[in-house]
Amino acid sequence: MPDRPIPTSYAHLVRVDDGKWARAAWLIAGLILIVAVPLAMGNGSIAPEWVGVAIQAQIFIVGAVGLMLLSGVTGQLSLGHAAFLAVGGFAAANLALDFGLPWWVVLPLAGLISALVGVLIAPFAFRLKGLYLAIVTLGLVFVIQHVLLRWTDISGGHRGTAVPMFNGFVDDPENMTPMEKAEAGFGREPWEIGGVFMGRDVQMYVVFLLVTVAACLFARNVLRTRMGRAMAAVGSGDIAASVLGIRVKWVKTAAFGLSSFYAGVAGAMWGWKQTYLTVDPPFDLHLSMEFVAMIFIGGLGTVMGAVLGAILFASGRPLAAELAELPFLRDSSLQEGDIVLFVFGATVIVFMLFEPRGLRGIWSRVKRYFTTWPVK
Amino acid sequence: MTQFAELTIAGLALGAIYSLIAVGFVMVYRSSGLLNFAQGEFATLGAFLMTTFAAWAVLPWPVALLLTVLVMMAVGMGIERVIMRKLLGRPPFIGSIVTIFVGFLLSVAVLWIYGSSTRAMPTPWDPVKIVEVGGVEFTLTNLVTILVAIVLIGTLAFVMQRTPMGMAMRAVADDQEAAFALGIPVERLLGLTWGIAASLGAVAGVFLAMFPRSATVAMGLLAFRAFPAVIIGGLESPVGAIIGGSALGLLQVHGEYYVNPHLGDFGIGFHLVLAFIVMIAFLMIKPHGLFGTKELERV
Repeated sequence: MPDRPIPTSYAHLVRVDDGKWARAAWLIAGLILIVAVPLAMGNGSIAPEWVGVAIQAQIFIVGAVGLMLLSGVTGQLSLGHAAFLAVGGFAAANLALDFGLPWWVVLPLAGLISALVGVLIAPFAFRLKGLYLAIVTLGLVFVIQHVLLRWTDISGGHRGTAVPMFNGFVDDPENMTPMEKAEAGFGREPWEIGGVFMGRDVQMYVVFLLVTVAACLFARNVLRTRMGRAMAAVGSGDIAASVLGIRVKWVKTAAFGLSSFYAGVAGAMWGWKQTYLTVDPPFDLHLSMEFVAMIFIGGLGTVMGAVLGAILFASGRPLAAELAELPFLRDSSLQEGDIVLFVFGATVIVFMLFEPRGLRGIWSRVKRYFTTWPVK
Repeated sequence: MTQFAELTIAGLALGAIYSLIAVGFVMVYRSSGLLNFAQGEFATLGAFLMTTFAAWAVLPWPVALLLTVLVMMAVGMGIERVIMRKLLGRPPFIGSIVTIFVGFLLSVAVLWIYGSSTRAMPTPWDPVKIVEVGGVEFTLTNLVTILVAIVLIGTLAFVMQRTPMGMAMRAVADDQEAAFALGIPVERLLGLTWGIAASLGAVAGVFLAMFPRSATVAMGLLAFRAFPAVIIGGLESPVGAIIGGSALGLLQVHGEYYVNPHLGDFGIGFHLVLAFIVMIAFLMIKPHGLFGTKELERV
């Protein structure tokens, strides 16, 4: 069912947004997110744990949009997304620790390194389809996990490694004391805007917001390019796509590369948020499956769906943690994470049974109700 | 040589467990075209139920095992009835994804009921008993595991090939619509398939938790480790599942002993990954496994 007016001209067909009102709404929402929220969060006036939740949501959004491009649009079901996040996270750690690169150089580089791994994996998708591909990517999680764990120069083994986020280029980072590293790190100086002081968390929120918005807009625009349309064509049937003259292998490679670029960026962000990374947890099969859950809850195939799913996941975590306080659960051996897992497992199942189009489907139904009102 | 033979028997015993899990995968895949990621949780739940029945309720061992199998059959059929049946007619990968989350629910349920501690699996025979045949020593548990797997999978193969019920199940696996048109109760048979898959998983779990291992929540991961077996054998063939399972068990046990030490630090735990590497290489050469059939695709 269309949830927007029927296009009546070419300009109408190719426009990016839904007209001036939609544009105004997005602008206001954007301003609130980038101005009002940090101001409100500065000085700790909003419960500080929600800053962490917001940052986690941004990381999830970038990762989920990446997986959406690969699994939702191009139809290459991947259970290996966590492995690419891990590659990005440890790339970020080592680029800073070995070369003293600032975070704004590390961010794209971590993405590129992860993308390179993704492109190397892509050939598996040439011969394999559907569930077989899913199992291979699942195997890759184990393989990459093993390699990272054993490659102690890179990952620090089971102990893990610090992930510094330098503000500028740093000379000779290997001989710096932890104190000096912290001095050169992101968020040392509080930002002051109109009497409100913003600490590291809030600064990180602002920076990540820009990254997240850029990632979403880029993905949305990629979908409108020749490559994006080709990806969607491959997603709905790769043999048919190849008959149409689409170079399927090239498209699949691009999709893997792009998706793992996003994952790498998300991994680097994850590292900076935590300031310290180990391989497992968090980068295990469960994380991969959580990403799959996000794009499914949100609604497959749209950027909006991935964003909604990621936000639901990140904000649901503290809410589900509240459940852990319930009397019959408090004394059990269940950890907070287990309850989160249970709640999300149940949510995904309910969504798959009753609303296969996800949050995005609910959203478009609500929208259609208002656009076509009073017609039912 | 003796050592090689001993490792081979240990590998075959592990392979027998993998085969049981893999046959569970194949049952569900053949009948409904979806991959049941919750199979490992069936094993975990089965193993814990067995400890409850045999150690806590002190039932005789065979009765406890039978009870475990029956309860797990009910669990499998229940999951099919409540969740999977609603997904009939939807693309198979949707159903497969749903099973991942069914697995999550089961694993949390096990954790909630049994906690995170490990439990020893009772056995009617002495769990450390060593059998010696011609200088080759192995535990009695390994021998029983192999025998049980052979008997169970053999019975299953007989039922599938020779009985009317098995014939109907194969018809459903072949073409659900055509089976429906013939008056075969497709839905009931799908439920039965899930029940059988769950109870096979439970038996695998019971034997996997025996000495020197024990029942833990982490056993659910095992099903993911069994994937190479299903892939190498092909998703559609029970025979393939047995061969794939045995190959996987042998690969892991021999790999741990003969390959790991040569890799230095990198070799620690490498045998678990080795199976996946072999699986990926194998898929490159034969994308449908040894006994899988190539799908013809309609555009």
